[in-house]
Amino acid sequence: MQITCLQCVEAACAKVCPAGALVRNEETGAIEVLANRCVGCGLCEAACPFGHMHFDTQLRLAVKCDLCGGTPTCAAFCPHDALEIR
Amino acid sequence: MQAFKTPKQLQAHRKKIIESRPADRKAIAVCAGTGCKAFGSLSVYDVFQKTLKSSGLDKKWELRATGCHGFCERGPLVLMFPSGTLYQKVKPEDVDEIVEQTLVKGKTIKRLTYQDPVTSKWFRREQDIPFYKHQHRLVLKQNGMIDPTSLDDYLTIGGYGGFLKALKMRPAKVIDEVKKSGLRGRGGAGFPTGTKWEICAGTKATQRYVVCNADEGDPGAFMDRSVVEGNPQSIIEGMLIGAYAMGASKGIVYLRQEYPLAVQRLGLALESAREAGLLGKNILGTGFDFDIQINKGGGAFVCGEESALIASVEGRRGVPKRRPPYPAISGLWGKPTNINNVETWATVPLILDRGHKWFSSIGTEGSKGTKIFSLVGKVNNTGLVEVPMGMTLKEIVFGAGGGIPDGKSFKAVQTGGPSGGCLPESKLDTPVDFDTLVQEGSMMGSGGMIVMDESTCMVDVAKYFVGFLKFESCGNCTSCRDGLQRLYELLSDVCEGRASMETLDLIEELAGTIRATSLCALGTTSVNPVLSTLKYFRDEYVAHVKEKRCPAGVCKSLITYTIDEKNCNGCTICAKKCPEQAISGKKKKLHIIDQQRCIKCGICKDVCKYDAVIVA
Amino acid sequence: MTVQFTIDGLEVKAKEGEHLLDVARRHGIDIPSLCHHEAVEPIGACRVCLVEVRSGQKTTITTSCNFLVEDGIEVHTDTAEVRKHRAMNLELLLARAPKSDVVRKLASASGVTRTRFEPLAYEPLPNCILCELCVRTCDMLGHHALTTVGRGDKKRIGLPFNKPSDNCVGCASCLSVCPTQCISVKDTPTQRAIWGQKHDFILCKVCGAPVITKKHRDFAISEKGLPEDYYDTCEKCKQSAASKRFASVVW
Ligand SMILES: Cc1cc2nc3c(=O)[nH]c(=O)nc-3n(C[C@H](O)[C@H](O)[C@H](O)COP(=O)(O)O)c2cc1C
Ligand code: SF4
Ligand code: SF4
Repeated sequence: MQITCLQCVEAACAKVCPAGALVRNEETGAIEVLANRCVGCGLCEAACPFGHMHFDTQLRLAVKCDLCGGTPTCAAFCPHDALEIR
Repeated sequence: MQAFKTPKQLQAHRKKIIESRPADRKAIAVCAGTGCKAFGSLSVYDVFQKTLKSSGLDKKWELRATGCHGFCERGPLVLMFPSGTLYQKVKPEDVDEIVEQTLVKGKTIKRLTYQDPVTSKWFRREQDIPFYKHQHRLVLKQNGMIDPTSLDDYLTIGGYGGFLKALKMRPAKVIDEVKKSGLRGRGGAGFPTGTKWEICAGTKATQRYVVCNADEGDPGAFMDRSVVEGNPQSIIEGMLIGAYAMGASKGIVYLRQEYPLAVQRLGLALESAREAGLLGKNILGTGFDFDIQINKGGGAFVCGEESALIASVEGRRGVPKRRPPYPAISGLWGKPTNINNVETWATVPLILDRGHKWFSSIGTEGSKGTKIFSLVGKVNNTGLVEVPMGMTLKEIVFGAGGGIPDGKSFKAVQTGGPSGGCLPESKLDTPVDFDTLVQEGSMMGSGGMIVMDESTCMVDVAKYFVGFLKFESCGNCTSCRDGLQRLYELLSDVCEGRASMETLDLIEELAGTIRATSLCALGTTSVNPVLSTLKYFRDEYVAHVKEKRCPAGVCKSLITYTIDEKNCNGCTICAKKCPEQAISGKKKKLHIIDQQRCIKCGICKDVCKYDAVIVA
Repeated sequence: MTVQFTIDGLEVKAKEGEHLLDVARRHGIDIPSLCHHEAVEPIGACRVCLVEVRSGQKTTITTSCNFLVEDGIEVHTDTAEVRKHRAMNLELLLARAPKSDVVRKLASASGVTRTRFEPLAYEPLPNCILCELCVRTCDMLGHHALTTVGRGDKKRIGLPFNKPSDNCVGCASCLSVCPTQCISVKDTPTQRAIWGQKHDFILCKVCGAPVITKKHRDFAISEKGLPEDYYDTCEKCKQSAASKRFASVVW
């Protein structure tokens, strides 16, 4: 089974981020990467217990699921309707 | 020294000491400023001390080692009171004669007095010498009158009178007095001092600082040094008045490390002020706390810029920061901090003591009081001159400065330090004040003044200053760091005959961007030497570019040394002195320079007694 | 307190103490820059983010990254003066970093495709534009392993006391923020070489892939408080472990 970011309440990624680049979007509840604040240290990827923070070595930035601003594309695109948001 | 517990006690002591030392008492002042010291004035002082003692004259004559009198090139200087007789270039061997002839018999020793190199006239009294006659010395004058290590000496000439008056006023009234005097900062920008104080005082804070900027990084400038060395109490008094007016409890003097004598003299002065209860807690029982510490600067030119100075005092790298916020609002450790130049602080006690009306009666509409310049270069009298604002460049260069030596003609004067503009002869009538100088493409800066004669190449001069500034730039801004580096390369192209007319356009274009887009005043003013010479001496640039010729005969790549057939009498001196053995010729026959070997050092021209070496 | 002013005619509001560049970008107005990063304090090094600010009778050219917004000012981001000076500063930077795509792109957007200045032989970091983002970021992270050395035309990015710093944790954030990507970082499966020293990676306890450097982890533990076992597995292995765990919980 594939899981995606749990948007943890006490998110490890946000806790370790030294630049304040991981913040919760109060509307969607998702933890988002503020790309302009991210300094690309990679600590968040190492710290996320579920393997859902990703450090993009090309962009040299953290990237993660942000629930696509409330309407996740993964759910919309899933051919088997196996994904739904509740 | 006793500790004064009330203003009354200090006042009483001042009165006593002024009365016990009448103005016409006999005194000998040996200059012990850095310049005269270098010429050996301390041994002159020592011999005086011994001789006076052994002859018993030490009861009659007071001997003082004083701060700089400004006429450094004539040192060691010995000034006698009350007669005003000035002896120059005094050697220890001269002392016996001075004691015998002048002190005992009242005779003048002519050979020790000053002879004007231009008019050949002799002058006995200091005040008649043209160098001094054209000056109006408020700050510097005190240097010659006191022993900088003696607080009593300072009190004798009226010291701490300004502070005592200030203590009787409300702080706001003190600020008002400084505002009304029209005093503007002597450190460069000419910001109105009273207004700065008002802003600092008006910013809510639990702690405020006053800072004295004694970084003085301009090459060749030493007016601040001479005040700190020669009259440190005046700075302490100025800062006390400022601290009282603004409610600051801490003061810092940011002093160049390379000024060991200044560090020592100021340190002593601070100690004696502390002993006398003029610094520390509950000063003169008024409840006002204030103390000053010395902070030694590492000697980077840019650390004189106030935001870089703050960074440096805080222990960070000395790099300027964008203002606002201005230090008066958020300075040292984020607290309101009032930064003033040495000369500004030293002027404050005079204003308080004699009143704003007296001060504002000197100078021009927009620039009040006097300003000290360090007059150097191709001028007969070099040294420190203090003149009223608004005096013309001509009066300074040809009056106090005595004109150009060796019969050469004047070419330009640069005011304002390394980033000042060079003004030509046609601008000699420019009155020296903050605003007019800027209008003409130069600036007051902190008071550097370099005189140049016909043998100066203005492109070379521009290159020289850009070279200094590119090295001293903190390197933060692309425009300043890389811009100056590139400007230097372009100017070298001109000097070395590689430039085209497009190069001149690029120089102008680049200079425009450096001026418009750099963060601090080092960058924005750095191009003054270039733009002013391009404006006033453009033909010289064009000659370098189009004719590959350096009209002043300075730029090595563009000149050749040859020997004139008519004048050469074959004395062989040039051939002997040439370090490259580039000159050949038999005795009493015409000599010839091998152009391949010649490194254009100019030694042959200097040694030839028959003017036979031609530079073209 | 809020202040109100215009940028290219657009009415904007901002908080007092904010910098102009941040406010402009928030309103979708792009001002090019090279040395700005939201995570660190602006220093105004590159001199590219120039704008014209009119206030009363006064018009000044200034950098927007470190300009504190003021009430009632009129900001113009694309005047002839701005373009001219920006182009010159970019031309200077192009001579310094001729191989940097970012600099080349910005320069050519300003109409600068070649530079009239000689190439700068710049050691030890060719193409470095001295924006100090690496130093500022390293300081912000609390490592202080980098510094600028010298001043004026001799200024360089370097190491304190000119030797590899004990403070460096090998996180390579300096490279991440470097606009010209001129910092050398070489990773092997077990080590990272950076700034003259080698750092051992923590290797994933499952598959052996590198996670982060040991020193970086140790710093994170002491500073951020998460226990050691947070950092002992790589992203992929953590993912599959989590999937398995969740699968067993739901079904
Ligand atoms: C590059 C640079 C160097 C400066 N050096 C000095 C200096 O050596 N001494 C000084 O008093 N002011 C210097 N200043 C001016 C200071 O920034 C500041 O304006 C001054 O100390 C304020 O004092 P004032 O108001 O009494 O002039 C310098 C400014 C710049 C831009
Ligand atoms: S203008 Fe020059 S000295 Fe001033 S901050 Fe910029 S680089 Fe440094
Ligand atoms: S190495 Fe990169 S980040 Fe550091 S100053 Fe140079 S260009 Fe900027």
